[in-house]
Amino acid sequence: MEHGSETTRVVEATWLFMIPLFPLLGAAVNAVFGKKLQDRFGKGVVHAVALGAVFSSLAFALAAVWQILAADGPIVLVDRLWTWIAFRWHGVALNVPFQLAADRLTAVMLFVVTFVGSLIHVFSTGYMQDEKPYWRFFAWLNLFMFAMLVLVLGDSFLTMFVGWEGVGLCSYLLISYYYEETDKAAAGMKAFVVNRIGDFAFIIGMGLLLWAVVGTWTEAGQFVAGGPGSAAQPTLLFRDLEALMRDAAFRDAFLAKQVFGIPVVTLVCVLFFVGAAGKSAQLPLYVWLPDAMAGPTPVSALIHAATMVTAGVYMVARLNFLYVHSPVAMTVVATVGALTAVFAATIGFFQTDLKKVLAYSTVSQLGYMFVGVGVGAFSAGVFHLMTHAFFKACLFLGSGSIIYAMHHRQDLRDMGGLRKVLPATYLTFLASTIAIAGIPGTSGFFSKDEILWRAFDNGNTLVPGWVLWAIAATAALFTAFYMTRLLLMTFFGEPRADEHTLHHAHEHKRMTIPLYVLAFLALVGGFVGVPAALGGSNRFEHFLAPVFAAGQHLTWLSAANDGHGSGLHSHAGEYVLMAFAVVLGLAGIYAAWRLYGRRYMAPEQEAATFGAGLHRVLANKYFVDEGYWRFVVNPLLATTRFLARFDKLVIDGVVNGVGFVTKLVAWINGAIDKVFVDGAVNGMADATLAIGRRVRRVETGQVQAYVVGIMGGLSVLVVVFYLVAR
Amino acid sequence: MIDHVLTWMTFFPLIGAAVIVALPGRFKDAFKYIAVAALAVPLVLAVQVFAGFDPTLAANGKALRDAAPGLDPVAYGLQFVDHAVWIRAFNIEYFVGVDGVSASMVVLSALVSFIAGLASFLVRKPVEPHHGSQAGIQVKERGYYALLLMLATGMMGVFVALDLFLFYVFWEVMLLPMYFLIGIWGGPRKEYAAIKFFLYTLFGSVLMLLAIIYMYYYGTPVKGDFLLADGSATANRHTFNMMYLAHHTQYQWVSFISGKLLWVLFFIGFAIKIPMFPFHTWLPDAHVEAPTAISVILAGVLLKMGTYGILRINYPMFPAETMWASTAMAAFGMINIVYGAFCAMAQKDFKSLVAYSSISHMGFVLLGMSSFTQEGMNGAVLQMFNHGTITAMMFLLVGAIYDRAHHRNIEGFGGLAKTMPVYTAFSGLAFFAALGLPGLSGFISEVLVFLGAFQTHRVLTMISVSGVVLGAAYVLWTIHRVFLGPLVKEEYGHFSDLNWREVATLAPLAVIVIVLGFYPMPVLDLMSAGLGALKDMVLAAGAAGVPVAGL
Repeated sequence: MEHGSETTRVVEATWLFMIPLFPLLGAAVNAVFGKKLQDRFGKGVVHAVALGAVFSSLAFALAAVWQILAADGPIVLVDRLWTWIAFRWHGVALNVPFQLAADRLTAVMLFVVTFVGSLIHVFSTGYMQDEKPYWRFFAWLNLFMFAMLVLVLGDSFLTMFVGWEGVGLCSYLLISYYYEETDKAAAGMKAFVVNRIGDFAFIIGMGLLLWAVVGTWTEAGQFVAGGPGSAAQPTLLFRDLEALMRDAAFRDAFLAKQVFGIPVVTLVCVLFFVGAAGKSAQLPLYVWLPDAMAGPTPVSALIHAATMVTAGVYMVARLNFLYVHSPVAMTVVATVGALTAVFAATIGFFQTDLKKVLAYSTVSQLGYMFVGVGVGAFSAGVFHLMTHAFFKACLFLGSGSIIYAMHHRQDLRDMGGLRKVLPATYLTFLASTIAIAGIPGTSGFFSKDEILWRAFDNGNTLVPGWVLWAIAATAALFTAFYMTRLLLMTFFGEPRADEHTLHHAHEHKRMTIPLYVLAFLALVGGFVGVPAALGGSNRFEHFLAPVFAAGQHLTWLSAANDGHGSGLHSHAGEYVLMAFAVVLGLAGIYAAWRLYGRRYMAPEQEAATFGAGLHRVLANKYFVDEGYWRFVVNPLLATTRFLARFDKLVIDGVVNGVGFVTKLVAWINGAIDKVFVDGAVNGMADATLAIGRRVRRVETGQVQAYVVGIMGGLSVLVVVFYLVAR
Repeated sequence: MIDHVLTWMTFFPLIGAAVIVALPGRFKDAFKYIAVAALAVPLVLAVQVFAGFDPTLAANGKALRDAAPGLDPVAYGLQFVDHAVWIRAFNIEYFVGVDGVSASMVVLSALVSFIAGLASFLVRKPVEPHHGSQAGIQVKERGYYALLLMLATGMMGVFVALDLFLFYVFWEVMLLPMYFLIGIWGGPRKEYAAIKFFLYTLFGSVLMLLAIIYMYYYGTPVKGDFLLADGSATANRHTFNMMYLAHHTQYQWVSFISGKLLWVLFFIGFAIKIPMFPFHTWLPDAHVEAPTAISVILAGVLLKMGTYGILRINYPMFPAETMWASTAMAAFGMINIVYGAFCAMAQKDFKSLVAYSSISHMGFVLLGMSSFTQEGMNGAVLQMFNHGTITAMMFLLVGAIYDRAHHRNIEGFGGLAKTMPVYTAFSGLAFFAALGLPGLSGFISEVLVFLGAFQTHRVLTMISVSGVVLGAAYVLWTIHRVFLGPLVKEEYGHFSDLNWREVATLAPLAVIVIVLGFYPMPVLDLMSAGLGALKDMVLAAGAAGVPVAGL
């Protein structure tokens, strides 16, 4: 490897499969026997199975993380399970083992997924306790854990894709958990179909990449395997591809390849990013995520905040060895991320649904992560992924606690003054809110600041760094504003709920413990990544550096990489930006407090304060859903109906027409026969008719007769041939 | 281990048919058991073929042929060969065997036939006994089961035949029972559907027959060392031996007839069977009218004969022409995928929807075949196998709901997940397999087709990939309308869930769908070497000057 970074050692770990195996078993048990178990032994057994599965998985995941941390130098744990796709052929052909691997990036994801996942499982035992299909919930939740773990552990595009689609399936199943309500079921469908649009790009990207790795097209359009810049064997394994890209001869030939006049590497990276945008809810494919709030709240916390939706960020970080070679793709990633961050934040302003605010907040924060990975600060993006998992999971679980206490109401208009009724929820919600707002010292401060600073400082993207920074900083201001609004509307002011609800509202112990743990991490979790400018050593970044080594030798990334600890000048700049970001966060909080701190504002008052037009556009989410219906869904349905009619009338019409014409010709023929040959053949015709009457008896619907006929015919045929053959 | 295993597999059902025909009427309750037993035997023997198949043969075949030039079938990757003289005057032989192209199809055919036999049992009172039923067969059982067994013989024969004449005979033997099975035991428009099916297929057969006869007479005269199966000299210089025609025959063209024309004649004959746009309209009609078990066979096995025939005849016998037609095949594959998916989405009839989804899924086969890459070719044949199992499940499921609700109007259902959880679970599995969910078998074949086809046909493959979005849309929308939401009718709340017999037909297929999703190697091993050899044959012929088209 170039630039002397440590070489990653491969370490066999044949137990790695245990991490996803336990949730799979848990899911299988609850899916098949869950109903019977629940009916006979109660819900305790169901969640004992589910919790046992995730905690076992957590134990093995921690063991893996520990081994990676304790190892001397960077290592990757590899567990080759079985040959998945291979061809018995001596020519060039794909060979994909079903293989799991865990390097340092995976270790971070493993920790986040299993740790937050376990907490949310615990929370769910409280939150879901009144649900009748309790077993179904836990079966799907365990299945989700399995799929998510395969996603992060998968060592090739195809293995990862199993997890990638698996989480999509579980997301579908869990959003549609209350499937008897048509609109909730429809939300699940929307999520899956929109994700599939991303997958469409993902699959094309995979095909294009494989093509580029295997061979090339000649001028005449002929595919030639082998040759310059081609692997000996086509591969879809991440580590093989990374190794290929380290080979200078291959890399140069690979980077020179073009399709439709576009460099392949750019096209591949953009296509993968479209896939990521589907999964991670970025413009313009974010529309499914707010609807996904139809699922039970723990699902929103686990799948639609902490883990699944970050899969896109993870994938871009995983493919850093490709992205660093395409400034265009990086620019696309960072720009879309920044625009999504600010766009979704503005929608968060006036939502009245507790979970919808958080959903748009998630979209916005995911945009942040993409800004991070898009400017080449991969570890910063992943860092924000982790801190976001803590504070956003905490916020969602907090909202779950509220919704549970308020008897499944989640409209902010019914809230207010809950801080006395739900003290634990209030405290943890407050902690997470200041974390997401970026108050110094909290986890959100460190991770967000890292991204903002790197965005400003980067010279990689085709869009100037300060533009990305300005957009992202605006999003930070907005975030502080709408989150404070949410906090104030929920916990402060006079209670707007009825006496009865408030009287019965209470917190559940199994729900508050996960809240405390997550809130604690939301506050202090950032200290693993304290930047050098603040006297820290940014352990997080150093930990991940070997994974993101690919870009280190590139000059256009070096500025960002050397920015830390390389001199007072960059530190000074960093301080200024940091101070500015803190001021923006405080400004957002202050503005929200001025407006909402002393009194509750109903939507009508908000409209009066901010202007009716603005309020209407934002409250209606820029009418994007309506636009999609009008310009995409309806035209598509119309095409569908048109083609079906075309099939029936034109294609089948031609077929039936041919049949009709044939019959007509036969009739004319018959008529001519009748006129000209009539008399002569009359006698013969009579005979024919007589025979016909007899033969008709065959057509009695008695199939024995048919069978005898067919068999007889066949045997006659055979006999005739024999005779002829003599 | 049984000798002549392919012959037994092919003709055992016919023996069963003879028994059923011969038995007196008072044994009519036994007919269905005889039929299932006669279909179980090939299934058991299929295990022998599956386990005993040597996948390395085809890969080593070329070396064998170079070492000892001759006509030993083994050197051509052919196994379980039975070879005898049938009609000496025309050098027609009884020549059966399997190779990489047909081995998986033989297994599929045995499996699906057996399941169709089970699915024919009457479980519930049919809706209109006089107009046939979807439910199971209760009228004219003797004829039904006899024809079903004949159909099984015909299908198996097509997949194992290695003599063109024999191939054609089996092809026609398969056609007739199908016609009667739809025409007699079908739904309200059964006559229309059956005649449409029959005429359409017959039209294709005639084109095929013309091409076969031409090949017989205008192929290079066989050399002196070409002997019949029993070692005797040939009666004349012509042969129907497919192995010989593929590897040792050149054709002399008279007037306007050329290799391209013969290629097209065969292709149209097979394309009708696939069915390929624009020859597909017989399929929805046939499916909608056919009883459940017959739909299962139709979709599970019969459609594969189209693509199988192309791989068996067009590819090895006209490799250069196949190369020439590559882009056209890919384009039609793309049209099938997209057009089929669009039409499926608009269907109101549940069965019709599944039928159009078949058209879409068979498009993947065409697309993959046209790529001449190892991934694409294997993906195509694996897709044939997977489509056979997945679509068989879907038709069984549609049949099950029709038995209960007595209609198939998708809009008329809703909320069935509540009352029929087991049914919903199987449906979910089948439908998600159909949309290509990773972890289930359909995904492997779809993604292999895409990865392979992309290397040859860029734009066409990109358009085809939109099938994954459209597929998700129509599948999920169907699930949404049928299973989710509130119960639309009070009486649907009283539907019984699947009974043991229905589960028995679905469960084996479900297991296969799941296992092959994570471990497709058993089936890939059957085919990959044979397809590799076939691919190289086409590419070698193509290298002589016909470039793979550039789209």
